[in-house]
Amino acid sequence: MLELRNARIGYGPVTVVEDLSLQVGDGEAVFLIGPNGAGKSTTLRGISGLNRLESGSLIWDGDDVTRLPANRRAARGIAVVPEGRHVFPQLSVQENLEVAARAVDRTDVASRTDEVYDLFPRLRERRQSFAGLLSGGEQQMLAIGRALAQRPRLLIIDELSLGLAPVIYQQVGETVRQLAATGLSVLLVEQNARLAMRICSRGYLLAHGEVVLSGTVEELEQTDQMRDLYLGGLGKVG
Amino acid sequence: METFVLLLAGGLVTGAIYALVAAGYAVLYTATGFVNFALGAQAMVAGYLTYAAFVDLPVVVRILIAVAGSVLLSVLSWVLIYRRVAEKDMLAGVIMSFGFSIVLAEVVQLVAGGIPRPARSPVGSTAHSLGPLSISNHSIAVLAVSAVLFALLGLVLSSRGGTAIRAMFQDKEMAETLGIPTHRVTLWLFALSGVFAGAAGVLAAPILSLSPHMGTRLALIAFVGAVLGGLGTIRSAIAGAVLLGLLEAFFAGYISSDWRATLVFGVFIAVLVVRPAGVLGRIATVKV
Repeated sequence: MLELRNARIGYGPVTVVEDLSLQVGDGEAVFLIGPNGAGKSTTLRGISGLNRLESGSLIWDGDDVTRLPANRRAARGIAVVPEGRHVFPQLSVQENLEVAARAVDRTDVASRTDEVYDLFPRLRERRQSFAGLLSGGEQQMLAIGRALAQRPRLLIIDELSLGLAPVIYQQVGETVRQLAATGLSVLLVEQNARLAMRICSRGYLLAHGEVVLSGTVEELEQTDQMRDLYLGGLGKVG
Repeated sequence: METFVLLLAGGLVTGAIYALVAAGYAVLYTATGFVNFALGAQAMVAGYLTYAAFVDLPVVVRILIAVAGSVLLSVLSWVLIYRRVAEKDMLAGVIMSFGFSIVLAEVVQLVAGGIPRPARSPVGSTAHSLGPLSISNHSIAVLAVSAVLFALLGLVLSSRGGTAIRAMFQDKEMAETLGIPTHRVTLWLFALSGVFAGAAGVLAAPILSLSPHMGTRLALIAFVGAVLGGLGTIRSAIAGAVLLGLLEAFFAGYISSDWRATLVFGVFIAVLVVRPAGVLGRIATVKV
């Protein structure tokens, strides 16, 4: 349902992504992996609308949304958890959730924030705290919760595990895996290949702004590139 | 003691006027990073619209026209002049606003003449004595009107829609990604800053008297006040401007009124060197 076709994305004169195509099907969880500067975050910025596609197109649900402004994409069901989480530090947890929920739909705000609290009970305990005072793990829960408060159909997450302790990202990752299992589409950028492969069923390996490898998790596990670069020692563990 | 009380009242009154413009700066700066130096000129235009043009109309109508004129100038100047430039290079846009303020002053000078003219306060200048304090109707109006406007601003920002504005203040890109229409919010904020500039002009004219360049000075001093408090948060910008008004009054009263402009800009340089985030500012977001 999401299809990026031959996208070229950059910042002013600098082109980061040259000619990139990818797809996320209905209810599918897909990851992007690749070294620093491969263009993962830039690709996500293209999909969320923060960077324009210099060429190529973005199809969502059969509609061409290439020129749709960033602030109209959330209402179409695309929600973003950006790298570094970007919670609003001087709004309370509750306000962070409400402002996101309300931005796409003014009805039902309370029930949507309640759903988030049911998913992350820790956030309910801290609902009145400023988001800036939360721990990194709690902020990541809030960033994901804020996206979910929009009841999206596609959840885009940039760097789920970055800067978090393993016990925390395993837990948050498990929540995302369950969401994906219930039919939410997920597009995940993640450095931790094992985590990505546990959550997703398919993935793309990016380098220098291009897809160098793609396939299902089972297929990717068999490739030398993934084994050498990201899954060193997987065979031995198995 | 009597001098002290008089200077305190006088400082609060000028400080309140600076603070109105400073609030206009901060509302825009915190959300967009844009410093609109034409706010002072908008205030000047509002002053002329109230006290020099349409003298036959009732004063309430003239004030409404003046504030509406300031709002219109604010929004249109952003849409037609600054926006395209500011999106590529914020500093260029800021310098354009300075240029626009000079254009406004020159236009008013051509239309209305350059000779300063007195403006009579709609509430009169009858003075009231209260112990050592002597305060005019107009000064009371300045304090009351600005207090009401600041309270309204606080209400707007704490409302539901205000949460979206505060979110945009804190992280514009994220707000946009979440679906907050930041372009539209920016227009509203320009309109809001226009209300504050317009009110400042209506209130300042009877004190400063009308002249085409009254806005330039107002714009600069209010900017210094906002930076003194911290341009990064609206509350501290307002507090800084009031503080500057008080400093100026006490300096003029006790030390030398000839050196007050030197004091103002000396404070400016000192703040930028020592505490660029402002005396009250917590976040070092001020980039001048």
